[in-house]
Amino acid sequence: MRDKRLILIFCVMMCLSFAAFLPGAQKDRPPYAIKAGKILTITKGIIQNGVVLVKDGKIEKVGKDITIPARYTVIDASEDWLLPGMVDIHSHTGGEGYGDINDMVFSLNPGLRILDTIALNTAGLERAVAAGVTTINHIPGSGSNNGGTGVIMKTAGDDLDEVVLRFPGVLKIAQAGNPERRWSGEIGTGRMGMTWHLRELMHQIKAYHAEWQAYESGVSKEKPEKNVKFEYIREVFDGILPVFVHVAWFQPVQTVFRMYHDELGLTNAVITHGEFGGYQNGPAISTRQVHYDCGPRLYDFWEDSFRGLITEYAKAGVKNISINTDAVGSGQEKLFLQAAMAVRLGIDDKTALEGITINGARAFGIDDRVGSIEVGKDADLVVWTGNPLDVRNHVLMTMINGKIFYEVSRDGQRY
Amino acid sequence: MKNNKCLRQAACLFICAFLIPAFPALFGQEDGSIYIKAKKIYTSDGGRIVTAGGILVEGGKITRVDAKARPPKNVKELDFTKNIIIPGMMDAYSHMGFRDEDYDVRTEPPPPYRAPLTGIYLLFYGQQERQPSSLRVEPRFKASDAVYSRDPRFKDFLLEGITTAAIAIPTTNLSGGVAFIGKLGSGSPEDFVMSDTAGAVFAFAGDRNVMNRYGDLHKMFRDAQDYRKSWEKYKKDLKKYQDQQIDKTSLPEGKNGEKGSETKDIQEPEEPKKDENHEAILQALDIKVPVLIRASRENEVQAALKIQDEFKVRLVLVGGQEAYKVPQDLLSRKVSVIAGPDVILNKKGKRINYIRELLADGIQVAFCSSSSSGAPLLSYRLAYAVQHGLSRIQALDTVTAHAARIFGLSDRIGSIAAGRDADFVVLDGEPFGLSTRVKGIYIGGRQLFPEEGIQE
Amino acid sequence: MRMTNRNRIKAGCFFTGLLLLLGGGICAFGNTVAISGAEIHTMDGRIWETGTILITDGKIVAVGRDVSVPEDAEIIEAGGHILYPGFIASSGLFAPGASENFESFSPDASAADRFDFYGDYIRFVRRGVTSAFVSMPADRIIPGKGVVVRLGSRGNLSSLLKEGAALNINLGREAVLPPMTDIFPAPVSIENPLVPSIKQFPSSSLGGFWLLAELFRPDPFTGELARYYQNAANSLKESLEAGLPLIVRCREAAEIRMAIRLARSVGMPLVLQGAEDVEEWIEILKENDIPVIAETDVTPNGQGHSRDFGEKEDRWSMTENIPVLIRQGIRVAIVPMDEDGLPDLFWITQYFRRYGIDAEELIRTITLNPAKIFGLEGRIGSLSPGKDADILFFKREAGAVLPVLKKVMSQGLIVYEE
Repeated sequence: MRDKRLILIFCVMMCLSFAAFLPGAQKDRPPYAIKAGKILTITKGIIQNGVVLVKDGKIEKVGKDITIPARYTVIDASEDWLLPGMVDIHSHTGGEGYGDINDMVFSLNPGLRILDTIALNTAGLERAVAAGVTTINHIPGSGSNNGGTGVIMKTAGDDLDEVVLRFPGVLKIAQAGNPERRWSGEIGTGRMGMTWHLRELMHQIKAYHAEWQAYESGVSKEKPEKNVKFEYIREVFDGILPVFVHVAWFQPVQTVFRMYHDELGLTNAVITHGEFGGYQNGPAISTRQVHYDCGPRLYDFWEDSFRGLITEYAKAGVKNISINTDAVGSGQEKLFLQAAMAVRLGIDDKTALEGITINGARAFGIDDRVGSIEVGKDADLVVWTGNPLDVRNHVLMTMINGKIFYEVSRDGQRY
Repeated sequence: MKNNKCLRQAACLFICAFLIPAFPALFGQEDGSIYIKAKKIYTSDGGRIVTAGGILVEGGKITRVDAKARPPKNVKELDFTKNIIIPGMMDAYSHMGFRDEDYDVRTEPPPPYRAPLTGIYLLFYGQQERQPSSLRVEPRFKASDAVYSRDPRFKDFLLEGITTAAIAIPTTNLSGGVAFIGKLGSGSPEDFVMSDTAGAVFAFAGDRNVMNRYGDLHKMFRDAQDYRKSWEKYKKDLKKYQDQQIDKTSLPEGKNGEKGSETKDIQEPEEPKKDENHEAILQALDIKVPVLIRASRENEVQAALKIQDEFKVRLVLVGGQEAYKVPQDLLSRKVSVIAGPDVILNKKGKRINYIRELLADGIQVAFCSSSSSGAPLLSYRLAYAVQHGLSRIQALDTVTAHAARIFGLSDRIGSIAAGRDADFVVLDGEPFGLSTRVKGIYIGGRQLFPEEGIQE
Repeated sequence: MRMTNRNRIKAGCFFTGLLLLLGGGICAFGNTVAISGAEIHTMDGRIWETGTILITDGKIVAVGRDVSVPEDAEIIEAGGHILYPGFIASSGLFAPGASENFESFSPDASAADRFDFYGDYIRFVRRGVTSAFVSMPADRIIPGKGVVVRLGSRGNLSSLLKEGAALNINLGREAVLPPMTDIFPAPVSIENPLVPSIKQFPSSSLGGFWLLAELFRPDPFTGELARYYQNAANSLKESLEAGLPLIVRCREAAEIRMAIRLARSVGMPLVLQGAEDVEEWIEILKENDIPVIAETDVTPNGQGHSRDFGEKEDRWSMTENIPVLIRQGIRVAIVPMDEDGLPDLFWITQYFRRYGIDAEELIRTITLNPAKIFGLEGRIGSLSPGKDADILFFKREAGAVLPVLKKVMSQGLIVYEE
């Protein structure tokens, strides 16, 4: 009898100690049920008077008639709109100033990693959260032809691991339209020189990738030398790490798709800015289905006429379009305003909203996590007083990874 | 019957409604009178120290200081019988509220850096070098016009027991404009500026070339005197001219019908231009404001004394580090010193407490931080002075009675005595002890700490 | 001179006299000193109300209440005195001027080469600072190695206590080289020379971080940078192999993160210096036993506050963080930001009494803590058998706010007396 009791006590103790390891719901991340007057899922249409269930930082359920389980904290937004957190794929707000995004001595800096200079909880990021921006591609600047690698991150989180979605996020390239100012006495003051630098770099990476692939697949028996600069950006040529190219004017834009898409086969390279007449490449870009990221300028004065940039590209057939702020070029919190301006300049609401949510996510292959309100994606949800494209509206609550990082009633209006 | 009862009830309610507002008055709360009982009060009033005494505050002023606490009836009592009270301290020369606040380095990018020669804006230069301020200041500039009175750091200074400060424009320029006296923690912006012309500030210190500065200041004063002379001459000439005009109209006609007097015709004098800088200097020359000259080294001090001799202004030395070498020169001219921010001079291996030296010779010495953020260290530095030979009473006097006297505000601040503003600091230990903490701050009898929104 | 008997005797006397003198000298060196009747703060846990310290050949051999004192010992009556170990300054250039070299990395440079061992440091010694970590300047990323010295004064030379005590690393804006092309595109001239790009790099914290991370890799650099940095990388390897602590001067959270990552990746002990944003890292500091050299802008003999007249506000002081760190149990060493305030080290630590931290804990920040940080706790920083006899004699005086320093003993010799 005594033995049996001992065994029982032992089992109970074991169970209890295991229970200690069970992931309990964190105090600040309880399961939520958000009742919203209008849910813009972005990918699956609009749901009137719907409910979104959030659990363990993910979207658990989305729909109209959903029973809310017990112990779910209910957020009543039945007079308001619910949208996914916005995605800005061209941003420099993750750090603490200009010294953190550019080292403009050499034209090529593949080794520089923006991950080293991330600062959480800056005033800029707090404003971004208060304006509904939840994911950004925080990248080095365009002061040099290759500024380094950027990081795709959330705009708030409890620690770095939670905030970083992917590193390296993109390889940042500035083809033209900024790097040419810095070099005196070195190749790179003109477009020919800059393109030569970049071509050399990309071919080096490509050769490195091929070398290692050959060795790893057994085709070659000779082990190649490890090069720390290229080792972690090899994935460019696996199609995993996109190249993100800052470029403007007609010829440089043309050079970009000819070099990256045609010559190097990097079909996921993204063109960003593309202003000052770059839109004339529209047809070529649309044939190649290149993703075009517009901003912060949304219009061009070109050939004595005023043109909306996205409109021009869209006219030419470009379908994958996103909108950015190029923060700190303009404030990160102004992403919704950029979208509203884009509509004013000729595109439709749907494209504008997709341009600040799902399109950028798709361009970087992170649409399995962010960009729309769908089951299984991160619970990055924003409650608006109404249509974000109407600037009279503002954000009431921002949730990132299932935690409420901003709430007007608690934090006051921050933007 | 019922009606009577109703009437009575109504009457009661009516009377109560009347009386309720009167209740506070009955308990003496109406004008905020309070009586403070304390273990020890350093009054800075002729060195008087009161043990187990009390202070009566009425209408924001001190009306009585009792050697033995005898609180009047119906007056709110504050029990500080375990605490020590000192008068609110004064930072006698400060730049608080003038901290360079262009931008917050850590949250916003710096302003674009405009490259010399080419004017290209380089947005990426990172941290911009900032030069020390040689702000061009003119004698007519008033510090009270430009101070950022809502600087949140004023609260920090208040919590250290600094209740007033003489605030000047921070600059290395010869003229530092006009300083003002600010009372921290005041309710309104008007109350914040106690006196907007507390001193005309000049600087001999900080420049190896005292000769130039002395020459420039001398010229400035002379020019002001000449300006006055030109105005006086103008006034005289104007009067002559006006008299002449009157004569012309009132004199009888001459034999042959000529009008006018025998003297030559006086032309209307031209009014000289008004110059506010000269006007400001004349205020100093007329001893309407003291002249504060920043002088540390002996030659700077001598140059300042020469200015005093020639122009008979009321000189106050700011810094005055080496003035201890010439005490008689100061005493005979009744020059006071606002010492600081240092306390000990290192002279050829000897350490000299110059504040003690000056006080020992009978010179009025106040103490200052001479900076925009150094005020909180005032009592810490005075503790260092106490360590090196100053008595606690002397140290306290430098930031209370002497400071008030230098600025002619002894009737209002600088001591705990009848008639003064009820500004005092409650401590949990002796002043200038390193473990002593401020437990309460009162300005005009109003408690500012620990309540009223000021968090520790 | 003829060798007569008289002469022999004279010679004999002369040489004996010489021997005696020499012998006397040698004996003086081998003497024993006992300090008795004092209140002894050993800094390693014990405070003796009335105790004796026995010293032989400049080293402490016994401390306590009942210490037997040999007959030939020189007795120093120290009744009414309070004894503390000599203070240690955890940082200081002890040499004017910043570095003039353009190199971002010079790990083999040593502070011992720029320290004047013949200098008279009495102004530090007379205030109780008997030893110091002489550090390398803050304006290059890896300026070199610091050394711990015992400060000499008045004829006593300074001595090297530990060579290559730690590697100084500086992160942040001050340590990066500004790009030389900010006057652009003016023609090249003497005022605007064309400086090779390599000498301008890094010019941002982004570049600085990367270069630092690369340097610490086992196989860093290929290509153009290898030419310049291979030597630095090689000499850095030597330092790493010696297990030197890394003293990383930094301020922002990103820099602290970099420092911790760096130290982890090479398995080296880390010490943070400055580190204003350190509050969010306290748990990690505790877990990994990372000490902090805290810089404060508080000085009792005010030389003008550092945030005056719009001066460069790049350096922020840790003054508000210091009490937080100490209360959390982090090993803290305190130094003033302004090196001119170093002699007042004792007073500077006592400023933090206002936060409710006791005097003893604060003195630890300038005795035992720095000794541990630099691996010299076997020699200095406390009063116990085996340690060097660097002893401060304080006395409480009426009217004084803190005890007054009356005598300073360095290696058993009184080097200062009031």
